Amino acid sequence: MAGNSTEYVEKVKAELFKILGRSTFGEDFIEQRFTGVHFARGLMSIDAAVDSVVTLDPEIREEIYKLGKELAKRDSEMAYHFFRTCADALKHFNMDDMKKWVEKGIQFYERYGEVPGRNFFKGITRETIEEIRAVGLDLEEVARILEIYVEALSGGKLKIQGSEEIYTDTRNIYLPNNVSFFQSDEDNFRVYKVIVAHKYAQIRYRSFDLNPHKLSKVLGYLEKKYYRNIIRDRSTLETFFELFPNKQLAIDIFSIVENSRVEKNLTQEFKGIKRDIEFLSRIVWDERPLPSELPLGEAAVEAFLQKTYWGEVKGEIPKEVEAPVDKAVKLLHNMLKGRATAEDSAALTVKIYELFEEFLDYGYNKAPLVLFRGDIKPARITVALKLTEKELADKMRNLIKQLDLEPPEDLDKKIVEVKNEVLDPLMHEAPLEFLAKLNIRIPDEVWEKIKKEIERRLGELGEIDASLLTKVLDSAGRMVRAEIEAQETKFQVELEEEDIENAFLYDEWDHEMGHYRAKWCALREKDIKKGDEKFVQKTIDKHLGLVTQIRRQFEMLRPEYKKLRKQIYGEEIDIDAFIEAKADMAAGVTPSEKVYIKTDKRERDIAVAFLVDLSGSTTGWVIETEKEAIVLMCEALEILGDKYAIYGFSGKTRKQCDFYKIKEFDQEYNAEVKARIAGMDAFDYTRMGPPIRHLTSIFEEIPAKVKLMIILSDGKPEDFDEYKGEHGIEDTRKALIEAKKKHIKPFCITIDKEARDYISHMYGDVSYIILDDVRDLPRKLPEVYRKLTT
Amino acid sequence: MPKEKRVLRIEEYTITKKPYYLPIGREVEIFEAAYKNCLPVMLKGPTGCGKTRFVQYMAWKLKRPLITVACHDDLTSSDLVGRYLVKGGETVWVDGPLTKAVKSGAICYLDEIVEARKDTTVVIHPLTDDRRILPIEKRGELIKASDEFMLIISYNPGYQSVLKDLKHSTRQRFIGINFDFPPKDLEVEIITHESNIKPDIAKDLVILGEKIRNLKDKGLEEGVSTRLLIYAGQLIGQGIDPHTACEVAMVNPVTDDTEMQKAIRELISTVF
Ligand SMILES: Nc1ncnc2c1ncn2[C@@H]1O[C@H](COP(=O)(O)OP(=O)(O)OP(=O)(O)O)[C@@H](O)[C@H]1O
Ligand SMILES: [Mg+2]
Repeated sequence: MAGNSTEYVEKVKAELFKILGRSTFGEDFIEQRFTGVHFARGLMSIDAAVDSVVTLDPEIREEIYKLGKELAKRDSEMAYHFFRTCADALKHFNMDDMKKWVEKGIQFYERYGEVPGRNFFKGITRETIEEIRAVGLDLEEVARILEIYVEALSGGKLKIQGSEEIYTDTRNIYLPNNVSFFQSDEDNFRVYKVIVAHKYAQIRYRSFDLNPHKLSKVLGYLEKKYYRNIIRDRSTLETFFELFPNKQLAIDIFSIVENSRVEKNLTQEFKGIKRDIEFLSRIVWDERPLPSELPLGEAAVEAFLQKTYWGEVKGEIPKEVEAPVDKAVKLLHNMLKGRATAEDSAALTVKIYELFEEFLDYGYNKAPLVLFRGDIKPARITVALKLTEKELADKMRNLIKQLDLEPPEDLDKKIVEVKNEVLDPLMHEAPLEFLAKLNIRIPDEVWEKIKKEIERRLGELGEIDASLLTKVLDSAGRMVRAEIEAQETKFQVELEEEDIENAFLYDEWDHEMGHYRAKWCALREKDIKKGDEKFVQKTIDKHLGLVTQIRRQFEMLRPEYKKLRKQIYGEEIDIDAFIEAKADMAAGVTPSEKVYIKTDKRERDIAVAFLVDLSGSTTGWVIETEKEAIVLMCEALEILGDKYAIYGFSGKTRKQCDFYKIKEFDQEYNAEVKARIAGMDAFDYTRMGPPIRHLTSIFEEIPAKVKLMIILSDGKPEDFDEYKGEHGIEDTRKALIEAKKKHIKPFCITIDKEARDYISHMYGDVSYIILDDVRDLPRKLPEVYRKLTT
Repeated sequence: MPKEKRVLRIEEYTITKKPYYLPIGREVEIFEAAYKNCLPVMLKGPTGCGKTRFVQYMAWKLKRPLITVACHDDLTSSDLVGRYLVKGGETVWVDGPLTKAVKSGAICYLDEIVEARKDTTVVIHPLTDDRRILPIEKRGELIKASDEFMLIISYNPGYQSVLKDLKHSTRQRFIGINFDFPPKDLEVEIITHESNIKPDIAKDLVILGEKIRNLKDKGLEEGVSTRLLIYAGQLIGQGIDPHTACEVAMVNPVTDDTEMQKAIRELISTVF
């Protein structure tokens, strides 16, 4: 701290001298005098740097020395200026910022040379502060929170994406990679939050998914008025904008009108968000231009925006636009009084466009965006809506096929219409409702099938379940679907002598024949190539927060000494049981011998094996994330002390089923195992039956009360030969049933976006979860394990 | 005396005051039909969605005493059936709650049956098929249940630990009624009634609940229960501001994941 003893000051000075290598500084400069040209140097003393550094706390000082050394390696003068300014800089920056500041200076130095590098550290400007400060909240840091937030709001999947621009295409929400409007992260977070809520509302209240029928009059009107042709294959929204001579003006007006409507709905749905929006609207206001300084067309739009949003206008409204703007404001207010739709907004856009179009002659540029409202991108919306429609149509077509129904001719068109009738665009899920809306009648035979299935299930489970019908429908559909899939081409390979050598042979289930094909598959245990030893540590660093959390959670699961009552032997007498026995004796009943309490630590007698899909389809993200998840899992298991093993599998045809040993039950979690985890890689195909059977036999040798087999895969079992479709699914199912018979509990984690329908059948009674986003895996895997074993 | 020390919580009573219960679907009708046909009933559903309240209501409606046993992993069959006690040098037999219920034609409610030890659950087997008898081994007796006796168990499917699961031979002895969180309007009504707050605050609580429930299986094990929404409502009714009330009732109880907590907090401040 400042004001310390001279001894202390000397110490700092010595340290700085060590780093800087000299004690006087100041740029070489050239002085012209009568006597000629002189070089001068060294006008500044190290003391200026010392003065600054002595004011710092010791820990901070250490960090500052480190940074200074980095700079001194390049240029000691630059480092000197850094030391001089650092105390000042620390008034604005935290240590992370300091690092960024230094990095930036180094970049400067490397790009432009030593003088700019030195100048960079001579002082600290407002711009630098704004640029550097970590206040800027990175999207990366809060993406998961925002994803959870929007998932909760919408109940569906909307992806959060980083982008230069702010908008939504109805499937993704695009957000800036960094927000730094405010000092605090908390306020910057509010920016993200409001944008996300706003985009959610645009989707929820259908800003962009206009109903072509409701809008046909408006479209016809524009077509005639401006002699323009409707372009096919565009979303209604894009078509609508294309019909205006000045598309941008139309978009800007629509944006004001429609967002007002959306915001009204949003704040009615959620009262609290209003506070956040108002908070932001203040900075938005500061950024708005003066209408009087804009060309008339832009002035009209700007004044319209300001009046409708803030109820006032910055400065004067140009005389010419005053009346049309007032009229537009009135029209909007009227519209908002009722229960308006986006189609109403579009119709009003036409009216206001007509009020403003006379000003277009003065030139027109896009209105600056209102931060949280973002932009509207009609072409992007077309693409996204088409994709959603296609997915929906596929789903319906599938269902229709599964149920053996007659699809209507213009199914695609009808689906678009029906989609527009669904109340909540985020809930496209209820297939039956959809079928009904499509006016597709379900014939009696199909109902019979469904009813039989219901009865069977009732008999099986004896449950009255509201969602039963949907489930039954699904499975009734599956029966039909299986028939379709079975028609795929089949071919088999033969097992030769050399294939069998040194291999474990396993049967395979032939569901069509209803029997096993004996010794059908040849499986070999293999070692995996070792990978980067640092992978494990890197993964831990990457997920540090999560790792800490996992450690804490598993800490709590650690077996404690537990008193087991009513035991045959033990170190204590169970008084309750003893008295009961006494009383029994007195009553003439043979008493129980179980009158002891045993203290036991071996409560968690669990052995778990992870079986990881290393098939080719996992290349890239999936395999990398699987590996990370395994690392986190190991961290957790090491704390728990449960027995565990890790295996991988892949292969090609029944000749070559590869079973990779990554960690066996009796192996320690050592550097070698870690390197093997890092070495896990994507190989060939997914024949799931043999590795499951092999692991089942490994388990037989393992003494444990609870045996858990956790399978990580990324979709359907599939091999190069006939092992696909139904055959693969049925064999896998059978292998899982075999495991269960041996008292092994399989649990399957599938990373898959689509194929949910086969999964429930394949896994049958086996528990499973499906992740549609592989990024959830590192978090999910330990969580699943924790829940499964407590 | 060890007798008092036992952890078992037994509440036995005839319910005289009508419990507040708002029917959600056909559960009342089904329960009555089951009662008439002497069928045991399993109530399945997430925690805090009204199972216990429903049983209390049905006991009142059918005018039967209700004996509730909260199951735990130390619960033995003697705890259910009964045991001999020595009193002043004499041995007396004391009926357990199950025996009491069987004899008196009460409704016996075994709450959270999965928690009980497996060997304990077996004693209910002969009671739950058409024999309807309770063997009392120690006395060499078989008690035939009276027609009014009814056995109810509750069971939260969730996603279960491999260590605890209800055996099929047990669960297939019951008819199952599914419970879930009530639909929006009804839940508003329930919360308004139970916590004495204005319906529009209850409505906001339900909106919040609905949003948080969207996260079930996507990071949350269970959505917030009706019970938690009522807690929040009761706190608000006591003058606690909604943000704090929801924070204590809905953030900490449902998750330890800090990012999830933050997201839920943001939902709270979005709604309130
Ligand atoms: N349909 C309903 N009618 C009236 N009150 C209800 C209803 N549903 C839920 N509640 C309220 O919710 C609270 C929680 O319900 P209850 O205690 O019955 O839950 P539960 O299903 O038994 O939960 P658990 O599985 O944790 O025991 C009740 O106290 C009651 O206030
Ligand atoms: Mg209960």
